[in-house]
Amino acid sequence: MNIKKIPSQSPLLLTILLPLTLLTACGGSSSPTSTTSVPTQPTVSTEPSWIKDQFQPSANFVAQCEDPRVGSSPITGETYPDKQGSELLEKHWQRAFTNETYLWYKEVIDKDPKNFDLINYFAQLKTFEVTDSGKDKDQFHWLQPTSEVEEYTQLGVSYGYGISFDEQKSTSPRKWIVKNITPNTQAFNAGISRGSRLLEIDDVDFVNSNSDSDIDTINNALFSDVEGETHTFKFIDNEGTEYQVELQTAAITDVPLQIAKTIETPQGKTGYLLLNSFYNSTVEKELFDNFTIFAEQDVNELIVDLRYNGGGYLALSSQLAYMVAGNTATAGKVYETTVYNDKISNEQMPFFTKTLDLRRLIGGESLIQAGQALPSLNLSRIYVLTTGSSCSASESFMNSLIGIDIEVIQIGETTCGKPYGFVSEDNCGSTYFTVQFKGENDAGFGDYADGLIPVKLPEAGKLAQIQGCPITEDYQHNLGDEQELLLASALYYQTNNDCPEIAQNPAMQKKTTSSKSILSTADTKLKGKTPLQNAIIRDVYFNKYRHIKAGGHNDE
Amino acid sequence: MMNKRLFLPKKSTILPILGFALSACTSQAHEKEAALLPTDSTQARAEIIELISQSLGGKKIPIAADAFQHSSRLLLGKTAITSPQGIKVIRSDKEAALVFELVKEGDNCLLRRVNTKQEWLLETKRCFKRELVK
Repeated sequence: MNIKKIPSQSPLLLTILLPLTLLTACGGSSSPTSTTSVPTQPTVSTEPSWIKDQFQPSANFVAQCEDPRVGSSPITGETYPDKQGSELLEKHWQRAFTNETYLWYKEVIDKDPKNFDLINYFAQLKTFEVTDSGKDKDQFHWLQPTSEVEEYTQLGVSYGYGISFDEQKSTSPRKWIVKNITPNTQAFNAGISRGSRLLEIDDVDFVNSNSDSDIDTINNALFSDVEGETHTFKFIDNEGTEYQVELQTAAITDVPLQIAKTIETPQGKTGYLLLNSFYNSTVEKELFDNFTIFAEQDVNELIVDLRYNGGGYLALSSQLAYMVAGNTATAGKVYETTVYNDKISNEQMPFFTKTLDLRRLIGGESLIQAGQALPSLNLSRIYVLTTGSSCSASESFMNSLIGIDIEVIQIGETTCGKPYGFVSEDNCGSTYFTVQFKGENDAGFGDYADGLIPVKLPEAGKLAQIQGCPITEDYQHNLGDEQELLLASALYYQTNNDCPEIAQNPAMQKKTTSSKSILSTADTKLKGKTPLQNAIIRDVYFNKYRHIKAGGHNDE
Repeated sequence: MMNKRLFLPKKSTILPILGFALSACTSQAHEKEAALLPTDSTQARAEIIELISQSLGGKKIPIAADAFQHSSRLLLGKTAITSPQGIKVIRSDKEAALVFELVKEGDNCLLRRVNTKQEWLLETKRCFKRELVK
């Protein structure tokens, strides 16, 4: 489900509170000699002094906390390393950590930590440059209580009903449209159709209700984590027929590879994959099996539908890219170079040419024998269907193929724009997120913070513009249906080498602006989840894959 | 309380531990083997969900309906978080998944947390040895 109750100390709340605390800081404690900034702890003699642009190692300040935790983590069982320190020491840790690891640390203006509180000091330890479109270059910089960050789930499982909504408007009159239904769920079996508009929940008018009790009813149903709890949902479908279903809250298992099939076209056999995630390690075997079939069937064109794929394991996206392009095109090439700041060496991920058995590598049972040669289609061109939800590893997949001169035809909407990654870091009960690296393709390109943009005629030098058709998806047909707008457009392009002329029904066309968190007063309890983008903290799992013999060319 | 079957000596565990100790004594010849649950394991699943939650500080953990029915290992990962700009961040941090394993020891079914070696004796006896498939 796409709206989530905001925890008490959520990032969104922090965002709201930041301006308030900033005002407080400006008005009340701007002077470094203010009494509020003078430590009262006996540790005052060990408090560090700030000298502009001179930095000590972060290790000198780590785990020296204003409020040290005692005992051990209920999650990991590990004893907290915290010892008595001060907020100033925590801020010096932030400063040193940023200087050591932040990708754009040279663009950070070094300021005296005594002039800020903990949250606001970290908030300004970033670049404030903007992209070509005017968007902040760094959109991934925040801190959060570690206790909130340590939420676990079975991989690929979440509570809900298996319905993904396009939350076009979360304030009344609300407009939520069903965009996908997870197979093998009650919602799927009940026949909820793509494009249906949500009208009522538990007899409450979802579209117009604003009373507190109604909003509570809606939220309780949308965010129920009580298995077996029954709620009624009323929809109106694309034909204007209203229907109602009863659904029970359940632990829903994602289906990352939702559709894999072959389409007969005048040009031959075209493979089609609807791949919703690179996160679930089970997809390695599914991709292996389906590409084996595609190769046996002599598939000569491929459409990869990544419109709802928010990313996941880069290793899986690397394997997919290899299975598309094949040995000749990828030999001696890099899938993605992880570029850190100039204090940390870059790392290269190869195009993986063999199975990894990722499931086993992360602690599970073996799903596929490692070290098997991956099948490949040796294609020189591929079609990729995208929306703003196509993010991270999905973008890497496209960018890596472009980097080895595979023709990528992008059909759909601009992707989310996340060529960046980080490894979250804990200190004194806070978890810090700060951009530490970016991914570049074999040709050295990785600056697509504004997303990968489908255009009919890319401009010279605009490497984030990708040949293709800018089309906003609608919900008139099921995913995988050859009449579905993006898939149909790809098939049209395949035949005509051009984009189709599309007269979209404005009533059914997806809005291009997100409702984000703009809520009326009466809506304050309806927590509109902001963009349906799934990013990935790309991680150092792949460091170990880099040394696996079953891996890519670089290992051979 | 579900933690009564936690093997580690915690509060309210004396009797169950004695029970387990007896059980362990009588089953010393049995090896622990990876196990699965049959398809109709609603009660066992509920018990497992509560034990896992308890093991993780009481946090509610979504567990699939067919948990331990196809694999003797259950992999947990951190949930997605949302950046202040509203971008959902799927996490695959450097640590491996948090793994729970279902094992069979004699007639007993045990839930084991792999990284801490904690084990819990399950009420269900219906687990069965997982056959290796080549």
